[in-house]
Amino acid sequence: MDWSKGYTASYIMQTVDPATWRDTGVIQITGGTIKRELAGKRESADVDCKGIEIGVERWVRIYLETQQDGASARTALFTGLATSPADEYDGNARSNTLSCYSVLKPCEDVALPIGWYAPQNANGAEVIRQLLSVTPAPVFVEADAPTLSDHIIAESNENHLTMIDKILTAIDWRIQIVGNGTIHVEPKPIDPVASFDPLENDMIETKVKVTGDLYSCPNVYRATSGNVTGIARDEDPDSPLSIQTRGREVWKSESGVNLASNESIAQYARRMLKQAQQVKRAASYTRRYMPNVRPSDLIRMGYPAQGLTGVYMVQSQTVALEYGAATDEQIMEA
Amino acid sequence: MSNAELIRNLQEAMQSRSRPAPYDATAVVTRVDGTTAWVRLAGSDTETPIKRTIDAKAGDTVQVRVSGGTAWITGNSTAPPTDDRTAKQAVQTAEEAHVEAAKAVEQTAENTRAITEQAQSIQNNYRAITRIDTTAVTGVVVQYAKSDSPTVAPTRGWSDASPTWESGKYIWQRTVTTIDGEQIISNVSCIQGAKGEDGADGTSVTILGHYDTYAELTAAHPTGSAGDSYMVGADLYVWNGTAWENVGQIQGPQGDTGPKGDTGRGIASITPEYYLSTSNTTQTGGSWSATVPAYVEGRYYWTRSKIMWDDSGTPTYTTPVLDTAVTNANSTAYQALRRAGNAEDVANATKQYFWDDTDGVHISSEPDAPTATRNMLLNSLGMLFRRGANNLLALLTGTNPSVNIYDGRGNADSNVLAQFAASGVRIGKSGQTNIQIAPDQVEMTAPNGSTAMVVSYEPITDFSDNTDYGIHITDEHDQSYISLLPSSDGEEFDGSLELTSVMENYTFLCNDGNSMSFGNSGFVITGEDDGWLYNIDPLGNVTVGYQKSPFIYEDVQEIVSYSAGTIGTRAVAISLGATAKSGYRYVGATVLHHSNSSSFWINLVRNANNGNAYAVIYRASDSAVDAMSITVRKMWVHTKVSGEAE
Repeated sequence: MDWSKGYTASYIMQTVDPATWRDTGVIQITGGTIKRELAGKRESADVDCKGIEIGVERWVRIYLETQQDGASARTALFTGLATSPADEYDGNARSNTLSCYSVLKPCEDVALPIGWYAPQNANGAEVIRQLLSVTPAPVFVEADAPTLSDHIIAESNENHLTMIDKILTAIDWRIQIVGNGTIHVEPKPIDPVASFDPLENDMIETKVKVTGDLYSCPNVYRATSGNVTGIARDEDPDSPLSIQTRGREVWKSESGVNLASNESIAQYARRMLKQAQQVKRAASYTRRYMPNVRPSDLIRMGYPAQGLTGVYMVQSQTVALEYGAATDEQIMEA
Repeated sequence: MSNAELIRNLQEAMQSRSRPAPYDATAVVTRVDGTTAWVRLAGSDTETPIKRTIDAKAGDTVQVRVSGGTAWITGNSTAPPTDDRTAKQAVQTAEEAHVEAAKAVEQTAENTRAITEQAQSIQNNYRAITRIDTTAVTGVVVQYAKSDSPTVAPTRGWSDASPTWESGKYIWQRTVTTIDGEQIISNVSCIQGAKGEDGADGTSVTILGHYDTYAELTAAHPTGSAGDSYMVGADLYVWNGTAWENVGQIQGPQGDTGPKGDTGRGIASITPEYYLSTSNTTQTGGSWSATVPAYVEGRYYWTRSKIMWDDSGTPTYTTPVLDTAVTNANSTAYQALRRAGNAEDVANATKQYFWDDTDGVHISSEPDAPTATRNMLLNSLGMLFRRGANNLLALLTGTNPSVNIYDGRGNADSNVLAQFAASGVRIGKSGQTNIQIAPDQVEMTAPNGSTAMVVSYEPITDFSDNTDYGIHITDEHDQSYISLLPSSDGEEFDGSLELTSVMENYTFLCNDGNSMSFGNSGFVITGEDDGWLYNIDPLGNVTVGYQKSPFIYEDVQEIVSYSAGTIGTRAVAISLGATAKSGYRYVGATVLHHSNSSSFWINLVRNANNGNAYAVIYRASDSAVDAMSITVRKMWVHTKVSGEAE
C-alpha cells in the first residue's frame, strides 16, 4: 500500500472483546472524526453509526479499508471505549452517535490511594506498566528504561493516568497508542519517521499556516521542586529576549519539578529558560493519511517555499472518516 | 461540533476540575532514614517516603505538604522545630549592632575629650605667649560655636566654653586675639562633625515565618506586632508599628582575615577519561580509559577528569558526567557510516564496466577484466552471461537458435544443463538423466543414457516398428518394462498393453482385444471374436474353448444328451469316455447350445482313478426345467508336451 498515491477509502467499525482483544462484530458507521494529541488520554473518536443500543459501554475498533491498483488493505485507525449517548430520528430512520475514548480511559477512572508513591530507583517504564494494568489493552514496554531519581508521591485527586504522565516526564519517555489499541511505552524518538517534500512524498495540501511565537518567550524562569526554588534571568544585553533589551520581565514558572540526577534546581531553571526562549515555528495543514505518523513523532519537512523545512514534532491530528482519510495536523519545530 | 463531541467535552471539563492538586495532611512518622522520613498519612495504611526538612523522629506527628509529586515536612506537632539558626543569627546580628552602637558612643566621648584637650593646649599656648609679650597682645581666646553646616562658619553663638555635643550639629572653632584692645579673629575651622545620638538598646527580633513575596506576606498578615518579622525571600521584614519594613538581608559582619594557610597543592595534570557504558544512568559494562573507546551501538559515553597533584601520586577524579554530545555524535556518525557502507555495497554490487575488443563487447564487474567473476560477452555466437570464462547462460543466434543454460564448469555440450531450441527442449545433460520434449514425443532418459519413458502420439507412419511409439516404462537394464502401444492397424480402441518381466520370464500381452489375467483360480485367456476360454486352474484342470494356437484340436464331437426332459437333480454328469486316444488328451467340453443358457453351466472334471472325463451340467436353480436342449461338444486335444510323441 503506497499511501502517497490515490486510493479508495471506506470505513467499518468492529466491536472488540476486551478479553481477547479481537474483533467480534460489525457496526455500520456513516462518518466521524478521530482526534489525537500529545497529552491526556491521547486520542478520541466521534462516530456516526446506525443501529446501536444506547447507554451500553463497549470496546470498538475503527478500520480504514483501502483499494489501490486492484489490491485491498485494512488498517486499524482507532481502538477505544465507546458509549452511545443519543438516538436521532429522521422520519423513521434511526441513527446514533458514538462517543469514543482512548484505551487510557480506564486509567483516568481509577484513583490512586492516599500516600501511594512510585519508589526511587524503580524502573520507570515498569511502574507505568503496572499503572496501565487497569486497561484491557495490550502493553508493550521497551527495555532499559531509566530509573526514578526520586520518589514520586501521589497528590490529591491523583489517578493512574496523571501519575503515568508524571513518571514519563521524570524519565523523559513517552507512550504511544497504535491503531489496534496496543500501548507502547518507549523512549522519545530521535529520528523522523517520515519525510514530506514536493519531490519524493508530496502529501501536504497547498494551504499551510506557519507561525512563530515571540511574545510569550520568557526572560525569567522560576522552577520549584518541593521547598527549593531556582530563578534564572536573561540579563544578557546582546540577547534579543533579555530583560535589558526588551525593557520588561516576562516570567514563566514551573512547580513540582522532578530533577534529573546531577542537576541542581538552578541549573534546571537555566536550562529551561534557554529551552523556552527558542522561538519555535509552528505549522498546520491538511495531508493524506499515513498510518505510522502520530503525535510526538518527528517528521522532516522540505517545503522551503512555505518556510517549512527541518524536523518538526507532531502536536495533534484530526482524521476525518471521509474521502481519502484527510488528516488535519499541527506540528512544531523540534 | 457533534452531540457526542459536545458531551465528551463537557465530561472532560468536569473531570478537569478534579485534576491532581497539592494538599496538606497530618502524618505519623514511622521511621527515619537519613533525610527521608517514612510516614503514615492520615487516611492511608501504607508508608510514604517524604523529605525530612524539619527534624522529626519515629512516633512524631508532623504536618506534611504534598505537591508536584514531592512531599516534605512543614511542621512537627510533637517536637517543634529545633532548627532556629536563622533566629539565632538575627539575635547575633542585633547583638553585634548593639556593640557597634556602644563603640560609636565611646568614640564620640573620645572625640569630645580630644577637643577639650586641644582647647586646653591652645589656652596653654596662649598663656605662654602672653608671658612672652604682654605689651601688645592683651588676650587670646579660643571660641566655639555650633552650626548645622560643616562648610559655612556660624556667625552667632560663639562662646569660650567648650560646647556640649548635640546630635546633628557641627562644632566650629576660632581664635580671638586682642591686641591693644582690638580683637583679631583667626583660624576659623570646623573641628568636629555631627554625630548621631546614642542608639537605644536593641530589641529582640522574632522571625515568625517565610513568604516568597511581599504580597503573600501582606495578604497573610496585614498588620503585626512590634518585633514581629518575617523572611520574604532573602530579606527580613519587620513590623515598625505602621508597616512592614524591609531591613535588608540578614548578614553578619565581615570576619577577620584568617591566618596564612599552608602551602597549597599544585595540580600536576588534568586528564580527561572516558567510559563506554551500556547504561545512560550509571557506568557499567566497560572501563575508564584515557582515550575515547571505539563506539558501540546503543552504548553511552561518560567522562570524568583525572587530577594528579604535585605532592601526591594518588589521583582525584571528578564526578562522572554523561557525555550526551559525544554519544549523540558517535551514534549519528555510526549510523551514517553504516548507511554509507550499505550504500557502498550496493554501489559495488551494481557497478559495471563496458568495452569492446577482438572477442566482442564486454560488460564486466571489474575494469578491463573480460573474465571477471561476473561478466557478459556479446559476439558472433550471441549473448553470453559468464562466470569467469565459463558460460552460465547463452543466447545463441546460429542456424539453430537456442537458449542454453550451463553448469558453469565449461562451455562443451556436456556442460549444458538445459537447452531451449526450436527443434525441442532438453532439461538435463545429454546422455544423462534428462527430459527431452520434441514436437512428436516426450522422452525421459535414465541415468545410464537409455530411454526410460517415451510418450508419443499420432501420426504414426511406421507400423512395422510400432514399439517405437507409445509409452514405454523400463527398468535400468531394459529387462522389465511396461509398454502402452498404439493400435497396430490404426483402429481406435485397438491398442495393447505389454507387461514384461524378463527375469521371471513372464510376459503379458493384450492385443487385438484379447485379454489375459491371473488370479487364485488360475490363468485365464479370453479371445475377442470367438469367445473361447482357456482356463488352467491350480489343480491342473484345464477348460479349453476354441483356439488355434498353440493347441491342436482333433476329434471334435458333439454330444446331445438331452433334447427334452428335465433335470430332477441339481447336476447331471455326462460321460465323455476315457482317455483312450493315444497321444491325445481330453481337455474339455462346453455347452454349445441350450435353450436357457442362464440356467446352466458346465464344468469339466476328470476321474482321477480311471482318467475318464465327464461334463457336469449344473442347474442354476431349483425351478423346473423343461424343453431343454443341450449340445455338448467333446474335444480331444493334442498338446505339445515335452518328450511326448505326437
